[in-house]
This record gives sequence, C-alpha cells and structure tokens, in this order.
Amino acid sequence: MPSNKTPALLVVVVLSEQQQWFVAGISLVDGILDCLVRSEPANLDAYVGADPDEQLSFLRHRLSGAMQRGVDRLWGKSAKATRIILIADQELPDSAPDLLPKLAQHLEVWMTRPPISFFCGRGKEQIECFSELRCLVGQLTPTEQVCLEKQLPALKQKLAVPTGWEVIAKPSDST
Amino acid sequence: MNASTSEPPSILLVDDEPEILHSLKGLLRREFTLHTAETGQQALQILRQVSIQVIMTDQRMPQMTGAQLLGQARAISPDTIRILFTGYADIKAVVDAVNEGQVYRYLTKPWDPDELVEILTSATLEHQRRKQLQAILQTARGLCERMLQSDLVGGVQDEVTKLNDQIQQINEV
Repeated sequence: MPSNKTPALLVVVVLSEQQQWFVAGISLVDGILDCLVRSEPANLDAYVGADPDEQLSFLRHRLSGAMQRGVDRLWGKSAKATRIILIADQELPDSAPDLLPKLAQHLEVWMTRPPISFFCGRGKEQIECFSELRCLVGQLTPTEQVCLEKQLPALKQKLAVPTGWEVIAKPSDST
Repeated sequence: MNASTSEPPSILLVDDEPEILHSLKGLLRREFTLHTAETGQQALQILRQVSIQVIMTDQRMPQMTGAQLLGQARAISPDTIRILFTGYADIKAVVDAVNEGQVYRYLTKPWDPDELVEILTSATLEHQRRKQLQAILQTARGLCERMLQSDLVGGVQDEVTKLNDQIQQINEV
C-alpha cells in the first residue's frame, strides 16, 4: 500500500544476558535514530527451563509483541517500518541448541510485511560493529546497511541510558 | 462506516496485555466503536450483551486461546466476523483457528497499522453484506410462501417450491 509516511528501519536489540529487549527506529530519509520502547531486564526469562518448542513459541510471541509496539510508535510519529532488523548480542543463556536460527527462520517465514533481517553478535552487548554481526536471515539492501552501520555505535550507547526509552512492563503471567 | 446507521461499526478487541489494547484503541477509535476485553470470558460476556460486528483476538492468552474463544463466539454470535492475531504462529494455531473459529482473517504481529484499518473496514463491510443477504433471503422466502399459499404461482408452482426449499437450506447453513 502506498504510504505518505517516512520510511524507517525498526531495530530490535536483544541483550541476552539481561534477557531484555530495546526497539528503536532509524529514518531512511535523514538517518536519525529514535529510541522508542524497551523492556525491563528479565523480560525474556520465561523460556528458561521450558522445552525447545515452548522456548521458540514464547520468544516469537514476546518479540512479535515488541515489534508490534515499535511499529505502532513509529506510525504515531508519521513513520513506517519498511524493514525490521533484529539483533541479538549473543546466544541466549540456557537455551535450546540453535534457538536463535530457528527463531530467525520462523520470523522470516511468517513475517512477510515488512521483511525481517536477523543478526547475532559475537558477545555481550557487542552490537556496534556491523561487520562483526552474523546474518541469520534477510540480507539488507546497500542503503539499509549504510543507514544501520552509521547508527549502531550511537544505538549501543543509548542502550546504557535507561531514561531515554518508554518502558513496557512485563506481563503479569507467562504469556 | 455502517451504511444503515450513523454509528461506527462495533469491534471487540481481545488481548491479555492491556498496553496492546491501549495501542489498538489509539489507532482505531476514530473509525470504529470499540469494546475491549483482557480475557476470553470477558469477551464472551460482552458478546452476549452487545451487538458486535467484528471480534479480533490474540491467540496466546491464559485460560482460553484465541481459537477457543472464536469457537465459542461463533456459537453465541454467528454473524460476528472473526479475526485472529498472534505472534505465536504455528500450524496448530492456524488449523484450530480455521476449524474451531472459522476465521475471516489470520494476522501475524506486527501488523501494519494502515493495513489493519483496511482489514477491519473490509470485515465490517463483509458483516454488512452478510446481514443484507440474510434479509434478502428472508424476504424472498416470505414471498415464495405467500405465492404458494395464494395460488399465484400458476404453472411455476414446482419451481417456486424448489426455490423456497433452497432458500431455507441456505438460511440453515
């Protein structure tokens, strides 16, 4: 559908050790980074101890909710997500083997609009260097890659500033 | 907008996360009359009390899944158009949604807000179309019966009788 809204990348960062997510927008017009919403630490902890299928089910449900909030916040600012980029800094602790690749594949299959790319970093909070991120699914266009690369260091810094984000409370139950 | 009244179409939104409902209300309040529920039981209560044109529910909720809710909603309010949304997309959820709830649309999070408004508008139009079709069928059936009772059918009695039976079968479906 044609849109008069500003195209933007929606970037979801998962900090594995903290089991926390952050959602930011990056304008594809002027490259401005906009911190949108974040969870509290331990938001993702419900997967620990669950069987592999339930781990996958829980994470795709919870992260889809995070993406939905990001899309909604962008829309409220007259911007539209044209690609979602999910970045996990490292494998999730105590998770089933290949959980992140399976999650990435699921999201790629089910999330046709906007398309998704999923990257994994090399260690705790190491997301600032694009060339060190491993792409699990969804190649970026050159324009998208340039835009993301430029803002990753700033995004990394913003993750350490808890007041710059709207905080989403953890649901009261395991859903 | 509903063509027959000035009241915006009624939509029931169901999600166990209040903040998602809040976000949806902000997006949809201009176009629709909104009702919200945080549990399947609350949603069923509303369906019993209020005429709802479209119900849109999350799949993954405690106590009752969205597919289960839509199955029960169908029994309470068969004309209500049913939409399931979820980030919890698996083949079982889809099969349950189709078989139990006979859903009109299956949406995965995140949805595009503009497309969501379009889908809900399309669903309310579908509801309106079905109601109009029911009314036409009812009128046609009444006409057939009156013709059969008043000997107005002349040489086409068999055809009118057959048409009357077909309309009755469609109404039962």
